[in-house]
Amino acid sequence: MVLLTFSKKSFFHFIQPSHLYIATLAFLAVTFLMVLALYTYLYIQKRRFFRNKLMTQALDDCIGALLIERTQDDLEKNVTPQLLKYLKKPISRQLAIDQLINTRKNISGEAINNVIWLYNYLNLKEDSLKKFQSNVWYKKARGIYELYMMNQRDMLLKIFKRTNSQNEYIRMEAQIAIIGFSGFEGLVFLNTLTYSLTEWHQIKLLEQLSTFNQVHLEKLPKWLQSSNKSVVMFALKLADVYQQIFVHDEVTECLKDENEKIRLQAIKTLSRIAVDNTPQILQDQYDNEEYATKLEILRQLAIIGSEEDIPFLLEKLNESDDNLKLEATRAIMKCSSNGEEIVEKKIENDNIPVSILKQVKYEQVR
Amino acid sequence: MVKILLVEDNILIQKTVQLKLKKEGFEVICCNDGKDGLEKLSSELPDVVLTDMMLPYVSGLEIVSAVKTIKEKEIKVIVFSTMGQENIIEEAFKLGADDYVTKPFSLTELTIRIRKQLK
Amino acid sequence: MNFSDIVFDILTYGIFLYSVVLLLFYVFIGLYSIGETNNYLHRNIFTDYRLLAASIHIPSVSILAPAYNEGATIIENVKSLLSLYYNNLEVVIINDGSKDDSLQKLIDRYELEKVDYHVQYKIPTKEIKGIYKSKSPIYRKLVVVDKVNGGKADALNVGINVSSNDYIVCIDVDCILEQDAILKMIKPFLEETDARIIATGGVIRIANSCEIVDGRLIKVHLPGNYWARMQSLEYIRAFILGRMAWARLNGLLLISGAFGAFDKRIVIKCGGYNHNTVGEDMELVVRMRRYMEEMKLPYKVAYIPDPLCWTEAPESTKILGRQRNRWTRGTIETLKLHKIMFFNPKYRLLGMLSYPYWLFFEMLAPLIEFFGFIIFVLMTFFGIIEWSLFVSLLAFIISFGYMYSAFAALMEVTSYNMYRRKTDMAKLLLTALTEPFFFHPFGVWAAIKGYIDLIRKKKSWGEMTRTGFGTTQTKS
Repeated sequence: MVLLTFSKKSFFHFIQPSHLYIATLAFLAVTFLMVLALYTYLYIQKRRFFRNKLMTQALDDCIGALLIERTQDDLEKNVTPQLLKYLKKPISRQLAIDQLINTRKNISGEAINNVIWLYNYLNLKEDSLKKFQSNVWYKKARGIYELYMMNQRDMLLKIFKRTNSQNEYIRMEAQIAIIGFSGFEGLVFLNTLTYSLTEWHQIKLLEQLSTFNQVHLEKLPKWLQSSNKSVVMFALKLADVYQQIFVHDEVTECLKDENEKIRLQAIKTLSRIAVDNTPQILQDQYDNEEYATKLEILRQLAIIGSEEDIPFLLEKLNESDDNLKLEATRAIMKCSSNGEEIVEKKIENDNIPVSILKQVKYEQVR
Repeated sequence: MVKILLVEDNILIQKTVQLKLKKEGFEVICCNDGKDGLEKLSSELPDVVLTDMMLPYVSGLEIVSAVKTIKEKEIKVIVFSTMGQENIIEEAFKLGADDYVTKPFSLTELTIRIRKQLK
Repeated sequence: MNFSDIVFDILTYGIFLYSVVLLLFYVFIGLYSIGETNNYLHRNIFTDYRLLAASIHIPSVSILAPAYNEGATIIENVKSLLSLYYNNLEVVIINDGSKDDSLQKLIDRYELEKVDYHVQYKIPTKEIKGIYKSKSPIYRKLVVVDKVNGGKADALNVGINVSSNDYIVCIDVDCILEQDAILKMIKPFLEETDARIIATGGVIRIANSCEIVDGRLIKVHLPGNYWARMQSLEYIRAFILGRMAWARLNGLLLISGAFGAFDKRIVIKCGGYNHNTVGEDMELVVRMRRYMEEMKLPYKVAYIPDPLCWTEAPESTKILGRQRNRWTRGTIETLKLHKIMFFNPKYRLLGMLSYPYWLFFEMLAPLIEFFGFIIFVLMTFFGIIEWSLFVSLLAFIISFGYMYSAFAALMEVTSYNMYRRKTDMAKLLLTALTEPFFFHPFGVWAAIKGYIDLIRKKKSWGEMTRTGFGTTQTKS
């Protein structure tokens, strides 16, 4: 910080040493208060830490015992009075909920019913509900999370109302919860969603869906034409992951979208649900595309292409960008049984770096 | 008695699996991280190793490959993995894993798979 | 009033105004960072990063780690990079013409073989001598590039050319990363909405005296060495308060070279790292922002306050001095390169606030302080100093500094609380008391030396810079 070392009557007529000393005292007082707060906080944390440690032990033992219990009878005997004593404090109750959720994430099967039984038995639902009813966004989101992790189906409708909440986090948890409760049917919220789904959010939804058995996604064409771009994006991913061949036309239509990311995903999806003329569609699209999407088309042609695509791919060896050449070479080697010869010939004639072919050959050996 | 080495950093899961396997009559040795896992592997020479994929310090894949370098006895490896990591599972098999269980897993299924490996 | 009086008045008022604005900035930064930190913690408290680690829908990432004569630790460092939780990852180690046996060590330990690999020099760099990959599938993520020595920026550019993924994470190879570091750094890119995320900055923490086994951080300790401990406090202040507040304003100009994630397409469009400056980390971020502003594209530079990256700080005044000297030169060079933005409304916040702040309060601060000190000495010499005023001003400034440090410590304890031993906090606070008398003047002096070196056109970016120490800038 700057040392003010000037002395000048005219200036320091306004500011005198006494003013500065008062400020100094104020600063020091605040410093002192902060240090005090710091130590108080550390002290509370420390006490909490030991408490939590004991509590976690008691709880882990209880959950562990419950999980290996074969029958639903006699579950109560595993809940020790000591555990109940710990659970009088709100902070311990939160810890208990967290541990139950942790179990739910890792263990499946019948045993999990016992965990949910414990959640209900200890009245932890009250805590989750209180959070759900709160007006603070992160509490509400957390409440939703706890309720669906603990399978509280009676909350379905109330949570569903939050799937288009203006708060991003509440919305996200609510959507995940609905999927958790109803699987693919839960996706109905996409019909009315007005906010955007971030990529992170889409990943979470896809992961959540992966535990359910796939059904026919009859609403998919509608989502692919949604005015909400992020819904289109998500629908493309759904079509990709669940190979929904019946939306081939709608996905092709997405290649006209002005958003590059959507076109990129559409190219990937088309390749997954490819029909006979898909390679031709991708070829026709190529010249309208930008760099990243061009690369993607070549990558996907490597997967779905055939001998028929070789002339097109050979042309692409004359692209100015080496990565495009590289992807084209990869595709040729995949699409044709004598791809190596074809590329070698082309390389000789058109003066293309031979190292590209060498790299692809190395990759094939691996 | 059949000796099982369990490498899992989530203490609650570790405890639960341990309880279950003990009840089924196995001897269980627990480790909280990959480093400890590698040490116990060579010192204890278990019959079966159960390991998570994402572990502190040393990855599950490294444990799998370490197991396969042990010459003294044939050790079976079962890996836990979170859903969707197909390429990781593939890799684990390439390195010599004998079976895998996706999380969340059922305790009964886990015991069945262990017994199958021991046959 | 005579002429000298007027000059004196201008100086006094000018400097007084400067100080007041600076202090107000500090107060603002401190208060403004609280909300952002709390928000971040609330948002991510029940985020399951493992889900992300497992997903097949995550973007591909390349870690770029330049290494120069790191033979002593390279094996452990690479091992720890390979055990990071991230599925779609490539670890690119760039051997920048090391004179030691780093490369051979890597070849032996990771069963590397030289492979055919075509590199397109999208960014012009020094020549690549060879690219190596492992024969074993366990190390499939690893790519080692051997190149002719060209400095850190050049090595990173080679890494950008070689990497095959969409996002790059640039790190110092000797940094110790937490295992979920990449997951956390990539998440902001996945959360982008209308504004494109062009980069994410991460926190650097001091690893001195910490327990480290096999390139993994086992236990955090407060550094035993005075200079390192002082830097711990400085880093807390810079990363938890300064960067956090600037990120919230979307005005962050600096992402430490030791740990930052970038959108590769934009980096390539901007031409990669500039190898003509010693402050290549800051320069890249400024250039990327400037590019986005000129293209009129909405963008954001994100920032993650989690302590994810740990690095060894210099413990000797010699090396610390060199580091600060280099930081000063880096800042001056960067600001000079982009002087067009200075109070230029075309660049919005970047030109109207971030740039001027850095110019006045980061770049010029040491100069002004040094100048003040000279005047103080002169006035004492001529016996015209008014001691009562001088002492009161000194007390005012020092007590403000204490308050700011105490606030930083409080924020640290209530957010991440990394220093858990009983006496750690007391030690840290006591160290803070000595700052105005030792550490701070030393920093000013090192910065002045930076000015002098720059004027002499000395560009010492050679060997010492890759000793592993402090290629990171931490200023707020």
